[in-house]
Amino acid sequence: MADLDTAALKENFAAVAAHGGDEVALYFYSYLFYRHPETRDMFPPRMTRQRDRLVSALGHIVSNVDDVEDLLPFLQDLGRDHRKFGALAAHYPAVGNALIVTLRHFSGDEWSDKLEQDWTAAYGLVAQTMLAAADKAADSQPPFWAGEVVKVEHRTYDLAVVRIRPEEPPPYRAGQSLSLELVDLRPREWRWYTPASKPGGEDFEVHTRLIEGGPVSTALITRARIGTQVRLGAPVGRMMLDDESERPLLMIAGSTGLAPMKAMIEQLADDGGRPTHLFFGARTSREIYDGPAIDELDRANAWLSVVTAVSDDNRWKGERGLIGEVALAHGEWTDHDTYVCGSPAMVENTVKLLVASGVPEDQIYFDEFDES
Amino acid sequence: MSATTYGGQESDVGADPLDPGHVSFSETKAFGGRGYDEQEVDAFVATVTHELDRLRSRVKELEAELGELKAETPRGDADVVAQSLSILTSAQQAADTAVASADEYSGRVIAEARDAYNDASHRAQEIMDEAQRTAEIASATQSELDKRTVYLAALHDSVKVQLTTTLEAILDHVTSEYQRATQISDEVARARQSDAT
Repeated sequence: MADLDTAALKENFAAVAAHGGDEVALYFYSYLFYRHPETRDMFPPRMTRQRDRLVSALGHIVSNVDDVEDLLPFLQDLGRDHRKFGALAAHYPAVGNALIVTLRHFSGDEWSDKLEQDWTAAYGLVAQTMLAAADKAADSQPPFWAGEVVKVEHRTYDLAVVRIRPEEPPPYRAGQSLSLELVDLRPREWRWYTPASKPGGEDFEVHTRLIEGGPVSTALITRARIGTQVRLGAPVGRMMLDDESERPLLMIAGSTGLAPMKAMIEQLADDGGRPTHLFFGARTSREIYDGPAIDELDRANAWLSVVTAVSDDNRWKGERGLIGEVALAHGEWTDHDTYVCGSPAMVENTVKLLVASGVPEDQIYFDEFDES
Repeated sequence: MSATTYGGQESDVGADPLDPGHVSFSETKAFGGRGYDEQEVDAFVATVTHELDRLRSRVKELEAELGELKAETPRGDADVVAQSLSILTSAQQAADTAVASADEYSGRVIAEARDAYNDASHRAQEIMDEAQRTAEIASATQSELDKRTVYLAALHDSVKVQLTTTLEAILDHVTSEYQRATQISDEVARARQSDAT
């Protein structure tokens, strides 16, 4: 973005954002929906989360406006991801217009023709990059994959294993995640779920835990039935097996963080197996929601060893403690490819422990998705 | 504007005094009857001049009015936009609040249910622990009783043997004493008999 006065754009954005990100985003969407009412249907009724996302995406773009290395893949991902919302080329100018109007509204007297030109040009580049990536993806992938629920198993009152059968299989790799929308139950709310089955089957399972006030998890556990319609977005995430690596594997899973591990173990079994330690942690023994499946994997695969630990249940006769700490107490993992999945707190804590124990950071795989 | 008559022709009130259809001049008597009557032409020129002035000032008025309207129009539009945006914004905020409070309520219900569940399962655990302890105590008591029963049975057996032995000994003794007494008594009887004879 060579000809733009990026410093002025940053300064102007900071001044606008000082009015409060939520207020700015509220104005932006109100203007967009006023001028282009047809775009309203692309968003959920509750816009709070959407506004956060807009502000953080804009913030990210603006603060990295000089760093093309970072910005380019970010915008390409954003463009590809927007296909599932039904974003079309025609919507981009509408958004650009709403953005300019919003910036002008909050800039007051600071607004100038030069700023307007520069913002317009900058947005043009952003839109062009996003659209190019979206168009390229359109050659090989549909905007989303339609599917339906074929089985719901409540393992406890707040943990369920749900099987989903897509019409066409989304091309995920074992360990990766897909965004999921409950088309009728929670329209326009997309949340990340990780298939717990290796790719290639006609259906796959996802593991879900009821999150207080989480619209999608609540609906999936309490209202999903056989035949419930879902949409799946393109696969994302760097939790996947490194086919080039010959290192043994360490997998540390908290609760439903088991899902990617299960998919990867199934995949490893297909590929001949690699020495793997799986540590599965739950708070209480009743939350070992997939025990028989874990036992079966353990029994069927000689290269796999499993340790299950419980952190908060004094009747449990096996290993006790937080799963990250239990895993670290079991050995030295510096020559392993390590995978961590669980609650954000568990992931943060465990990754810290691994790094502190000397595991090289490029051998630690984890994904950060916000809950709820 | 008043009606203007040129050469006896009348122009209607309010009609355009410059409309050629309404303008005609009497032919002059001078120049052998060629040309228009000079007075009438002068009067017409005066009317034209007046009318031009009037129109010029009217154009100015209208231009000013248009300018004002132009200045006002975007402001009026902006007002409509601002109003619409504020309606949309409050509607969205109302929706956000409604959904948020529904989510919050559902979250609270779930949290309470989860707490209740955890409490209940803790209680159940405690009750089970207590039951197990009681069972252990009971089983300890039972085995103590069993031990004592065995001891008592053994005691019973040994006492029985001892008593039997003792009683048998006494019986033997009594029997032998009785036999001796009988012998003595017989001897005494026999001695008395021989004394008497």
